Amino acid sequence: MTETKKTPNQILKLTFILLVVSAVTALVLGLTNMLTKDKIEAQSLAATSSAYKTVLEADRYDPVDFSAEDFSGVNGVYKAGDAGYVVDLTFSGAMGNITAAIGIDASGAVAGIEIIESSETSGLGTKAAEPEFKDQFLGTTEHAALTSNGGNIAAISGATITSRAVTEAVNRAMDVVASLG
Amino acid sequence: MFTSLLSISLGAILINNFIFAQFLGICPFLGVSSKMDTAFGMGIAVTFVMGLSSAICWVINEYILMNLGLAYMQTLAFILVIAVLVQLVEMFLKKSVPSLYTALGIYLPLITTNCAVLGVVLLNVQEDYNFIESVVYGITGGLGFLVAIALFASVRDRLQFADYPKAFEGFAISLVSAGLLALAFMGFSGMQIW
Amino acid sequence: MKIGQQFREGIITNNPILVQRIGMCATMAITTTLFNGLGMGISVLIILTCCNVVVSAMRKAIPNDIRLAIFVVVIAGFVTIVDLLIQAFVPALSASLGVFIPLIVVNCIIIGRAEAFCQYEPVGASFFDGIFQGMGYTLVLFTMCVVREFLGKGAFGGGLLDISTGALKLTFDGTGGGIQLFPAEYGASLLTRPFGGFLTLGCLLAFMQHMMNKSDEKKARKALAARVEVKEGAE
Repeated sequence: MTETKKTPNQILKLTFILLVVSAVTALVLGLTNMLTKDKIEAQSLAATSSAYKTVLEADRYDPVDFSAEDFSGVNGVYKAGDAGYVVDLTFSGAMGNITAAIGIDASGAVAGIEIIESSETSGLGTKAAEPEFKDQFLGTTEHAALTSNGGNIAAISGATITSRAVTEAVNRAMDVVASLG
Repeated sequence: MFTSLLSISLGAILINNFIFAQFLGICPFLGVSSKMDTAFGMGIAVTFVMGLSSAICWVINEYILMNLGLAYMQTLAFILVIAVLVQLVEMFLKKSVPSLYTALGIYLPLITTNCAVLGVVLLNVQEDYNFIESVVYGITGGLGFLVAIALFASVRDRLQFADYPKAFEGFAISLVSAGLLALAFMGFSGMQIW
Repeated sequence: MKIGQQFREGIITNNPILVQRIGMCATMAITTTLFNGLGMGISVLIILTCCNVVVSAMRKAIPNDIRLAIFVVVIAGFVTIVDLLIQAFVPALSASLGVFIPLIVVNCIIIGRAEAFCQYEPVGASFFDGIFQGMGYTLVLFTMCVVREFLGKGAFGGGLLDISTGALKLTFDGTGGGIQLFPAEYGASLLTRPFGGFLTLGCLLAFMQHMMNKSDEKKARKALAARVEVKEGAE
């Protein structure tokens, strides 16, 4: 490709055209963003609140304070009325981060687990969201562990990392609720 | 901190290799891997662009886009940064390493459309990495690309002497062979040293 | 450019993936469920058509030196618009396609069509080019999804179809379980992993090449027969 030397005028003209196109694009994007912003927020809110309801039924979820430095990855702890607490936490799975809501009832036992966001391997790590795996934790008041570590949680075959990650997340949720006193 | 960097690196190169596990960067991977030297050069160029764009895009995202609530402008801003960067790399190579410049040919400007470069920048935002983590992910992701493309170049060398059905000539047999390499890399999944 | 010819080209003879061999990253990465495949295909079709029309409309005003930069800005604009729309109305698709939605910006098909076609052709032809190339792309994605899901998990229509209530339903929020044609344990689950993506696309490309070789051979034979006839007629 032959390169012709451009006059400053020509370069200015090219830059100007590029700027105009970029500006128009940015404006259109800004407009679209304005129109869709609320819907997008509503969607993500709906996803989290439906997850909380599945985990521990309550009319409202009030955020409570907890020491964030001691419990890494915990996004929030919510008091679910008298039923107990819902812990929203993000932890590292096999293929990236997993965000889950874990319900701990008033007696300190696990009431429910709901995977809100994950990018685990479909057919393997995604099985963590299924009752066959999740229900093993229901009712436990003490720290759980996989059978390979001396506990009684059967890991998903082929998805040990995900299984272990979820187990540790459940333990962390129990700890943070216990720390509330 | 150091262990998280090590696990990011291991993930980018072996466990979640950009080509064999995440499918980012396939076009140049198939296009430039016919000779080991070109493949190596391409890998180094891509690593450099990935590292530098991770750094610059992180700064732009953190201090400009996020502060102004312009998260939706990420795609546009990032791709413009990458395009400018590749242009600069092109000019640099043309002056300093003209042999590599001619060898890479059309594939050098095509680094702009390399899914791996934009991909790593977007993943940095998605995973919420800080500056150092982003740069490390960018560089090691590029190294993962380099490992993949270098391995594949040697496989393609062998392919010349292989006996396969005529219909598979060209991309098809390359894809199947790449698939076998991906199968091998699956052995790394679930590795957790740190 | 005749529309019928453009249709044939977009779907078969100049299919972006099987013949032009571009835009393959996403093809292998997201074809694990029909929901993903169709979602991606339709998104690309919309973005491609919009970009084609805009580039074609502006073609006289775009200076040659910065045309690629302008293409990229226009494409990034439409990709972001579609991305925001998907996040707002089909969030499940946004979650499952992940970074591959913004990565449509660097999908070689869109830049390729702008560079090779829309710069020179009028808006009408560019519009149809976008539609047909997009359809060809979606068709390949559809085929790959069907093959990988069926052979890999024994299912059809994962995320999109739902027969749990007895009647066939379309679920646009990605929750459909799909139709299980045979138990998932008997499927070759490797096909749902990255290896399956490479293998399926490779075999599809080979099949396409085979069909093209056969059609070339037929044409060559016909041409030869015609020449022989002419010679015999002349004698």
